[in-house]
Amino acid sequence: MSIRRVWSLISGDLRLGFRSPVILWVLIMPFVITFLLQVVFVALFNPEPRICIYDSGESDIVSALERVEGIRLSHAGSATELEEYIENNNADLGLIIERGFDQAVRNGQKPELEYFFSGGSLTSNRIVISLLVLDVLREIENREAPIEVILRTGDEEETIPLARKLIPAIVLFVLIITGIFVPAFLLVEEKEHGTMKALLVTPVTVSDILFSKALLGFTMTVTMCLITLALNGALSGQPLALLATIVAGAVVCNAIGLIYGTVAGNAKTLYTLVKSLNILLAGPILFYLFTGLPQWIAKIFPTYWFIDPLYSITLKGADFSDVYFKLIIALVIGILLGIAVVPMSRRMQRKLVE
Amino acid sequence: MNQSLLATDLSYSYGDLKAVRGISFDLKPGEILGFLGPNGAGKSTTIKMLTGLLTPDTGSIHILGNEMTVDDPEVQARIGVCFEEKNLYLNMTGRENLKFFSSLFGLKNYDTDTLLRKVDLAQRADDRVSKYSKGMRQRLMMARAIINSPDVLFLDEPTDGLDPVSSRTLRNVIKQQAERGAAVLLTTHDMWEADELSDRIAFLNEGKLFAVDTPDNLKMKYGKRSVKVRLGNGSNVRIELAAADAGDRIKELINSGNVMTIHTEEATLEDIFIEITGRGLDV
Repeated sequence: MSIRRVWSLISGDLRLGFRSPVILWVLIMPFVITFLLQVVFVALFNPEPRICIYDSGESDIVSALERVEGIRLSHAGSATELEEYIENNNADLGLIIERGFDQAVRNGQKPELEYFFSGGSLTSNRIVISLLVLDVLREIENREAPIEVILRTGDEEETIPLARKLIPAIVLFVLIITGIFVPAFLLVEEKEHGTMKALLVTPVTVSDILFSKALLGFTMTVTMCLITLALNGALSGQPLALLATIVAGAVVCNAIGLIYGTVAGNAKTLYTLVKSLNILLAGPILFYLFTGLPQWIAKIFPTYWFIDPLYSITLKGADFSDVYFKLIIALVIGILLGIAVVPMSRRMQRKLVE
Repeated sequence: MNQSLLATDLSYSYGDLKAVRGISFDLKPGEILGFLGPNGAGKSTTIKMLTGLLTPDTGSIHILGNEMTVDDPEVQARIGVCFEEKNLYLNMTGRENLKFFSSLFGLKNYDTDTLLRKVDLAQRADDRVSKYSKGMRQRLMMARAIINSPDVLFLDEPTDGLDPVSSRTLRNVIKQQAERGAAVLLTTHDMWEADELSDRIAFLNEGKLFAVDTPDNLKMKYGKRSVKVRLGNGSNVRIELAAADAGDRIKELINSGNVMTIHTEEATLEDIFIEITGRGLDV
């Protein structure tokens, strides 16, 4: 194997890669997935409580609510507009604050405050908003709360937001798509277009070709995973442990990618392989999403040995010393799979030429 | 060094099918050896063995004094191969294809313009190959094959199905390569091309090599020594040159003033191939 020839092959792939829709998809995928995660899971499953106010005076309630984080506040121009707003479920709660309401509260006159709840609002949001408004009213009245609320979390895992729980799944997705698909796709393209045969009558060897595809796949995989983690705010805390985990994952996925690439003779076969077998590779994710399942089953999957460290680091705050053993197992699996590529590549070469 | 290539007792089978059966030949620097044979004769399989793509079942190959094995970068750096199928990078331009392959041979700052001019592609050098015609792609394949100024050049049906202009361009390139000193092995089933280009012809049929000689010697050996005289009344007279009265008969016909044309009855390579193998070249 020659470093110069490997670099030449990588340069060629890079030149071609930016003209391939598949490689371009791999490059933009972390951004698309993160966007989907933020929009769908954060906005849909963890929506912020929404309040709409019509203030006919200049109530301090409005300014107090404007200072509160974690809610979305909007203003209506009239009482009718507010009612329409609520009817259309554009806000969870509507408040009409009459002129002189604040003064009446301060005078202890107990004025009426009407809540307009949207039929489509979540009960949790109604409770949050109601308590919040009561708190603000107490602030205006200059009264202390009669009780002190102490927050205690129950099952730690249950308190992790879904969007964050999904981060290991997204990174695995990026690992599988980039780590497996890139080297496999590049190999299959060379075979399908006959260019591999053209390469093999130059000083380039099969080892040069395999190594160049794996190296390009590895570099892209690590880069895309780090970008994904950064976009999802999961890179802080244990960057070195995360990097080690991603490296181990990339080694395993690249080796699987080379196996796919040597076995598949054309793109159609490759897509079939990816579709049928990648579901199995993503298996460990099920055990994190559904914690009631017997966890030992997850260890059967080769991907478990880097997904579990990833999960532990990103969600449980584990450090390198907690995960290094599993990462060694992942690397060993990757190396064994890489060794298995050697006889497969010989078979591939023979089939290709005959 | 007398031989650029020496193939000894080469055989290869695809399962039960024996594609090449114990063939031996050699190739000298500057020589063009035409492998003539119909489809399925074993020409492409022979080239695959000679270029290190296939390992022969039996026999040995020596190129420039080195034994050829599969994946041998040192030998492969000194050969050039032009395949029958068009295997170029379609999403690269013609120039990028050549730059890329020059980098694989370790050639720095390679002058692609000269090479592209040689195959009449300078005007389309920066177009993607996917926009090239069949003839243009084949010319680019030829340019790629000679990018490293190979000592041994293998050409597998290089002009098959091309227009006359592209074919002529490629034939000129082949001649230039031989003049430069490259040994050229050319497979074709076009007997006219083989006759025009080859210093020696090898007939290959069903994996066996039947005759290896110069075109003239083959014609002498297997052709008929006769002339065909066409007369003014539309009839033809054949005169065997070996006959004792051949000279007198020709003189007599000419003196009669009735002769329209006289043609030598030299055998074509196809005639010789049929005579030797019992089958045609286009089978």
